[in-house]
Amino acid sequence: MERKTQTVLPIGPFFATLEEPVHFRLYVDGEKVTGADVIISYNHRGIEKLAESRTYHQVIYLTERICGICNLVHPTAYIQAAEEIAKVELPDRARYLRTIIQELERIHSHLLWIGLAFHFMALDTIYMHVWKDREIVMSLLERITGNRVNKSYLTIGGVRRDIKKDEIPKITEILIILEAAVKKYVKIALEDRTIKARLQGVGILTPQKAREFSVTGPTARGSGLTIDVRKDDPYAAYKDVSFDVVTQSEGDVWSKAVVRLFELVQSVIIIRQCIDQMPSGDIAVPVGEIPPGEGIGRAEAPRGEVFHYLKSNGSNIPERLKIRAPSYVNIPSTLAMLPGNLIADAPLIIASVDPCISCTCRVVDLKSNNQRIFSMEEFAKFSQKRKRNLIL
Amino acid sequence: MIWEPFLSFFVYPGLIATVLIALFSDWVIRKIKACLQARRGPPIYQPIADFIKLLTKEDVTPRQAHRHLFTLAPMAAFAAVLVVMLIIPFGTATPSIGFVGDVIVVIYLLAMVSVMIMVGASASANPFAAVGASREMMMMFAYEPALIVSILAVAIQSQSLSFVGIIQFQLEGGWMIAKLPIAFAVFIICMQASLGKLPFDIAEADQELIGGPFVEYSGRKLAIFRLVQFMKIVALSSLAVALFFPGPYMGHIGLDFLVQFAKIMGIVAVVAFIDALFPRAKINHAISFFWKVLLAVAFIDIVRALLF
Repeated sequence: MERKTQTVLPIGPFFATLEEPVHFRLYVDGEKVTGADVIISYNHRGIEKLAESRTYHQVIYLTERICGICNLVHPTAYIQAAEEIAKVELPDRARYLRTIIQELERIHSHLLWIGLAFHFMALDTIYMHVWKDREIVMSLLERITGNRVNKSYLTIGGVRRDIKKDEIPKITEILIILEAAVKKYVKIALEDRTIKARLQGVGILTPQKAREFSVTGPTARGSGLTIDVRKDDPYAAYKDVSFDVVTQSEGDVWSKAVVRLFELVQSVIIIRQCIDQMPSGDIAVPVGEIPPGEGIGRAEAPRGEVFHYLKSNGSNIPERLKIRAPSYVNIPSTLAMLPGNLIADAPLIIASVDPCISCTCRVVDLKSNNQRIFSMEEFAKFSQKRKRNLIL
Repeated sequence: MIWEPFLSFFVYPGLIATVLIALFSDWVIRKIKACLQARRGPPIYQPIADFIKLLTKEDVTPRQAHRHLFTLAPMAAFAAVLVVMLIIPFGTATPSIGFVGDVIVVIYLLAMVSVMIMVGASASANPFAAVGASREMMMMFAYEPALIVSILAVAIQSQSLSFVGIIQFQLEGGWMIAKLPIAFAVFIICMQASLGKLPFDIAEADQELIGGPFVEYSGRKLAIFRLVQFMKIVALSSLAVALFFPGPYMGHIGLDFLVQFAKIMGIVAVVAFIDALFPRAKINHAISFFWKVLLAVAFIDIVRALLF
C-alpha cells in the first residue's frame, strides 16, 4: 500500500480572506487537496440561550444580530414562528413591504458575494465596481428602513415603517439604475472566458451528495435541486408575485455563481411587481400576548433556508428558540466539494457556498480540562452515542 | 573628484534617489489602480508613511526559523537591487560602474533578489512560506529564460554585452524598441512576472496564502523587503529604458534626470494598468504560457537580430 505524504494546511481561524473565524483543515498532497475538515464553532455567542431571557419583541432585535448580511431573514423566520403561534393575520400591505425589503436584501447579499468572488479570483477592479453598485442598494435600503445593516424593520404583526406614495417614483428610478447594473454584471460574468475558465469544473457537488448533506439555497439550486422556500412554502407576498426559480445542473462553482446572478434579475422583477401591486392599508396589526404553543418559521435567505422553531408557554418570554441557519448545512458540503481540487481553488470553493459563520455557530463542545477538537464525523458519532445513551 | 563615487553611490542615482523614486512609483501604481477601480487612492505620502510605520513595528523572528538566513535575506536582496541601480545607466550614457558583461551581472543580481526572497521564505519555518517559496521558484523557472532571451536579442543587435555599447549603438542608430518591438513586449511581460504583479503574483497570492513568502516577516525586515520590491520596479524600468529607448542625453544633469524619470513613470504606468486589469493566472497556465508561447516568441526577435 503506497503511503501518500500529506501536508496539513490549516485555514483560519485567523485568515486574511475570511471575515469570520472558522477553521478549515485541508489535507494536501503537493498542490492537490485530498481531504478536508471544518470546525465552525468559533463564533458561538449563545443566542438561543439569550432568547430565553428576553421578551418576544426584544428577541426580534436579538435575531437581527445573528448575521450582518442576512439581516432580515432571521427576524422574518422568528416572527413568522411567533405569528403562527398567535394566529396573526398579516395585513396585505405588510406582506408586500416585507417582500420588497427581503428581495432588496437578497440583491445586496448576492452583489456582495459576486464582488467577493471576483476578489478571490484577484479581479479587484471589478470587485470595487460591483461594490460601488451595491451602494445603490444600501442607500435604497437606508431610504426605506432608515439603516443600512441592522434595519429593525419587522415586528410581530407587520412592519414598522411605511413607504410613502411620494417616495415610489424615486424608488422606481433607482430600480432602473439597479437593473442596468445587475444586467451588466450578468453579461460580464457570462461572456468572459477567463472567469468561466477559472470557475467551471471546480468544486463539483453532485445532486446525490447535495441531498446527503441537505444543502439549501443557491448551493442546492446549483446542483439541480429545485428547492426554494419562496415557492415551496410561500410566505409574505411570494404567492402573489410571479418569478422563476433559477437552477443549474453542473454543481460546480460556476453553476452556483450563475444561479446567484440570475436570482439578482429575478429579485428586481419581484420588487417591481410588489411596488406595482402593493395595496394600501395598515402596515401592522396589534398583537397581544403570544399564547402557549409551538411555531415554525421558514424564510429563504440569500444563502438558503432559514428555519426557526419557537416554543412559548404563555409568559412574555419564549421558552425555546431553535435556529437553523442555511450555512449550517451548506458549509459541511464543502468537505465533499474540496477533495480533488487544487489549493488555489479552495477559497473559491469555500466561498461558493457563501458561508456566513455567524449564522452557523450554534454549538460548541468543551471538555472540562482540555479542549478536544472534533471533526465532523467524530462529532456526528458523538451525538449519536449520546442519543443512544439517553434512550437506554 | 574623490567624493564623486560616494555621491553617486549614496545620493544619485544610488541609495537616496532610488529609494525616493521607488516609493513614488509605488504611489503611482496605487493611484492608477484606484482610478481604474472608481476609488480615490492614497495620498502621495502614503508609501513613506507605510515604510515608517513598518519600521516602528515589532520585528519577530520565529523560534524555529533559521535566524541568520532569516535576517540576511532582506539585507542581501536590498544590496543586490542597489548595486543593479549603480550598474544601469541612469540619465547618462555611462553608468557609475561599467564594464564589459555588466548586462549579465545585472541579470544575475536581479535573479539574486528573487533567490533571496526564496531563502528568506525557506528560513521562515512556515508551511505558507514554503508554498510561497516553491511558487516563486516555479515562476523564476518560467520567466527567467524569456527575459534573458529578450535581453540577448538586444545584445546581439547592438553587438555588445555592456550597457555603454548598447546605449552607444542606440544613440547612433535609433531606439531598439523600433527595431526589436517583440523583444520589448516579451521584456514587459517578464517584468510583470519578475515583480510579482498580476497576472503573475502567484507567489504572493494573498487571497490564498496570506503573505506568501513574507508571511513570517514583520517590522524592519518586512519594511526592507517591501522596499526591495519597489526598488525592483525602478531597476527593471531603468533596465528597459537603457536597453530599448535610452534618450537623447542633453548633458545637463537635471534635464537628463527628468527625461529618465518620465520614461520610468511611463513603464510604471504600463505595469499598473496590467496589474489592475488582469486576474491571477494559475501556476500551471503561467508556466506553460512562458515556456510554450513567450519563449518561442522571444526567439523570433533573436532571429531578426541575427539577420539584420
